[in-house]
Amino acid sequence: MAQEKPAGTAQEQSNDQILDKTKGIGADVYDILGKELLDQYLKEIGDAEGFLETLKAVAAPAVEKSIGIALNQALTFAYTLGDLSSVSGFLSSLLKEINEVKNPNEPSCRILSTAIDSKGNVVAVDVSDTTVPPIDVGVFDGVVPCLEKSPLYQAAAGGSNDNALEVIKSIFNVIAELNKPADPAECINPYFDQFFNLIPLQFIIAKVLRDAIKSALEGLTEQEIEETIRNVEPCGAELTKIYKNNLDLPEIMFPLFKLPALPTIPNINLYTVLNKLIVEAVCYTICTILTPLIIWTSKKMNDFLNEFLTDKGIGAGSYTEFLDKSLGKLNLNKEISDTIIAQAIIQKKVGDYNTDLIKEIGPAPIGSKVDRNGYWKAPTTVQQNKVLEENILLIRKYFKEIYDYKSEPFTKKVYSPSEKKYVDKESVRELGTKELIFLTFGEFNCFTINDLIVIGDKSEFKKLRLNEEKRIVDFFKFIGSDIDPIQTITDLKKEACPPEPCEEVEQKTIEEVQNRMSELCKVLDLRKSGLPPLPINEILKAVGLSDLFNQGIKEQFKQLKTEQLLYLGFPSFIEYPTIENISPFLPQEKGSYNDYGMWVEQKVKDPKLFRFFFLRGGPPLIWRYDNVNINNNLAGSTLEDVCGEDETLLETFIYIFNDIFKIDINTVNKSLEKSKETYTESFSKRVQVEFDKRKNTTGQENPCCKFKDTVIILKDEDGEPIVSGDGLDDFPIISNPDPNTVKALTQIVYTIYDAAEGAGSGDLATLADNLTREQRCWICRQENIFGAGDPESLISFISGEYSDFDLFMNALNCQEFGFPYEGGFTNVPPDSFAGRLKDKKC
Amino acid sequence: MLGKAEYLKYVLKSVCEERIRFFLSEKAISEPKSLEVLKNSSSIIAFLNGNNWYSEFISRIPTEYEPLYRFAAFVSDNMNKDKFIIKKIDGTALAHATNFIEKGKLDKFQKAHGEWHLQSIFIDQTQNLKDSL
Repeated sequence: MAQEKPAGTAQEQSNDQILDKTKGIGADVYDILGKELLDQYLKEIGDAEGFLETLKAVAAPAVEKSIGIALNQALTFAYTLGDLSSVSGFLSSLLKEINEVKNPNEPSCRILSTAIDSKGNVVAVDVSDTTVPPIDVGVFDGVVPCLEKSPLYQAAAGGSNDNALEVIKSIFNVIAELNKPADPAECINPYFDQFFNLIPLQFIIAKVLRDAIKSALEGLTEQEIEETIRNVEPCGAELTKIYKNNLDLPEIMFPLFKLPALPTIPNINLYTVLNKLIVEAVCYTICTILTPLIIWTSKKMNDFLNEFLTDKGIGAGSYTEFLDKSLGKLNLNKEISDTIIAQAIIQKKVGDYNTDLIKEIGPAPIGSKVDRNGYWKAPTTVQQNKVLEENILLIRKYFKEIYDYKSEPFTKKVYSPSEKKYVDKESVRELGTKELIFLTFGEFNCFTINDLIVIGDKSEFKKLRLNEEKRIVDFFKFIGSDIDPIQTITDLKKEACPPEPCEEVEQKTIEEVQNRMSELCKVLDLRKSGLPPLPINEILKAVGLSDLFNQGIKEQFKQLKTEQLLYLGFPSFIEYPTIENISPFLPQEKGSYNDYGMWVEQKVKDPKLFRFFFLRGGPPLIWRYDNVNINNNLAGSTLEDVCGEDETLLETFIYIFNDIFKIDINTVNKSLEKSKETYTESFSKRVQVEFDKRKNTTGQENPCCKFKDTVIILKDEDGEPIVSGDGLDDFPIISNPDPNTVKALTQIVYTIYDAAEGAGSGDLATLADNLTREQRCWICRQENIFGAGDPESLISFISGEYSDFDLFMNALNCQEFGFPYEGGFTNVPPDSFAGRLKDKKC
Repeated sequence: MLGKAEYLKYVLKSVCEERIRFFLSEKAISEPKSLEVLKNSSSIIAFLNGNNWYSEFISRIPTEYEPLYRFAAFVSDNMNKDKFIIKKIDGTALAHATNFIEKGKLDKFQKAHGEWHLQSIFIDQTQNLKDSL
């Protein structure tokens, strides 16, 4: 098929002409196309060269342009996808999940481990059972990260996983450790750090945590339980609060985690040992429950999250901040209604309603008596409303102060992936969404209350009496009845990331993630750990990444699918003759070969070829990218394959791109950007062409009727009809003839015939491009133009003379009227323009 | 990152495949007689060498994008088990690229990085076309 660009440009149409073309575009078309697309179309439709470009694009390498974009997307994706590896924080926990799946019936507090026996099989080993002979392969399993937080385990393991079985026999160390005061904070702190960063779902976690504590300590009295967990510093107070709160949430909301059984406690008969073991059990229980819960919660909140489990005392890092920023900040003034605030005032949750009213009523006359509220007379409605309005105004100001609040700067330790160490970072606290929503549940941490007291202590807000903990908590719990936390979070959440990661993820962040991944691999040291092979596809499935990849691929190739369908001539005019048939654009394929113009017009005549190569096994078109499952391609790949490499994927990728292929990405990007613009315009025009083909098939004016009775016979200067192939002598040319006249049409036919023999590339297509629809339809009818010799139409004559015949036919666009590619009135659809003309319905 | 290499491999190779399929589709429409020859050819490579389809395919790709297709073919062919099988650090990436620059599966080939790999995909897709006949 010819693809050369036609020479020259057509003259631009005036703005008036452009406006004229907008007439007749119904509201339905406007809606279907969307404003942006239609505006683009209207802006460009006056550009004849652009129109020609459209025609060219239908037949020329449209796919190539699309692929350019797809490749650009692919490269962009490759460069930026790294941020998603922030899920690396899940990996250590995933090990646990996977191991738990492998051993679902084993009580995890038996210090279960997996090992590889001499035959290479993965086996479960109870390392707490010293009667089982040790296996001579390194021991490591999924619960180790939890166990490592236990000083008891560390003492038993001697600080090394490799010889844990040996060291666990060092009973003296164990007993010595047992007699030390319990310090469960080491295992709990990191979880609480994350715990408070998962709003509002940590509320649910709190419920599960409370149940866990209760179950783990069910043998003790309520008082003993409280005493035990209160000793868990520094989170004992919060644990106690969680435990005492009777959170009545539906069970269906919680994942069904089975609580591990309490370990058998050695009968050493020492209170400290018992206490130690109980606290260890609490710690371990919390650890094993919170880990999958955090994963689960995180998946729900966001598909990517944040820190891997850190050592004690480490503050939240930049990912937590990033996650925080992914939520808009809660503005209480938008969430809380005046009605609720008024009720809070009346019910004395805030301010001092009575005192304000007494002042408003005015001083009591001498001798008058006051009621229990201190009123000497009942306040009027006007007075009540005035007091309420003043207080509401002040509370609105108070909410704004909260919204704008920033604490004094303080220093915290955060992990700096770029420096690969924990560093001090100056930071400020804000009263953000998580703090405020949690507060409406009556839950808070000291910082939140302290910050609110700072605000409440300001002179302008003293009147509200929100400068002590109890008043603050009561007030926020009250107004919390006006907040739907889940909906609020949903509303505040920014739009979900499209396949390409959100723009706010900067390159620096991506690098940080990769460093984190690298660090994590080192920590796990997968190649030396003896860990059983972890299948990558299972991990991807567990964190939902495989779906993300699959969706990404589908999106990457979505536009290309559209192009492929358009290339196939879908939707064909025969199967989809009216606008209603192509709404939405593109419509569903009907599963017939006639769905595609390419088949209808017999451009491909071999059904096997059309089916298996063009439709890829269809109809309908089998587009493998819609249902790709990348996990299948990863079968057999394990974590060991990709962890611990000296060189990251991105480093290799960039090296090949820059240093081996020496591709200048800036030049490529510029070119792609330009192609994108051209492509967008071209595509919108092609969509419009499809609509134009069909928009007048429902009763509007038929362009084919304009010259329905016109007969044109070419004659020489003597007025004698010529024979096909005869040269024409000079024929009269009128400048700018009225295109609605037969005279203009006749002149066009003469001009085209004359140009055909000596036409340069694209000349005839350019001529055809300037025709009106009425003129094009007449030529498409293929009426005889020779009064002598064999009858022949203009199209038929050109097909034998002109090398770029396809280009000419594309410019004519006979399919728009219902004419097949070259077929005259044969097989025209009855409800098409051509069909109606044939049936004399003009 | 887990899965990233496999994702890239799939996308980049598919981009090449789709571009080639489009070219072959046009050939199938415009040269039905060539299809008869292809159908009866015992060797795809012999057929392609006789018809210069690959050279024509390359000439249809805009110059500025051509290296990208070769790059995509090279990268996708050098990934396995979710990672690159070649590295910068040990020189295998450069060695592999340099070695293959001297090779082409078809007679007429340009001494360009990724040429051999792009040709491989082209031959596979032509095989698909032949199988459809």
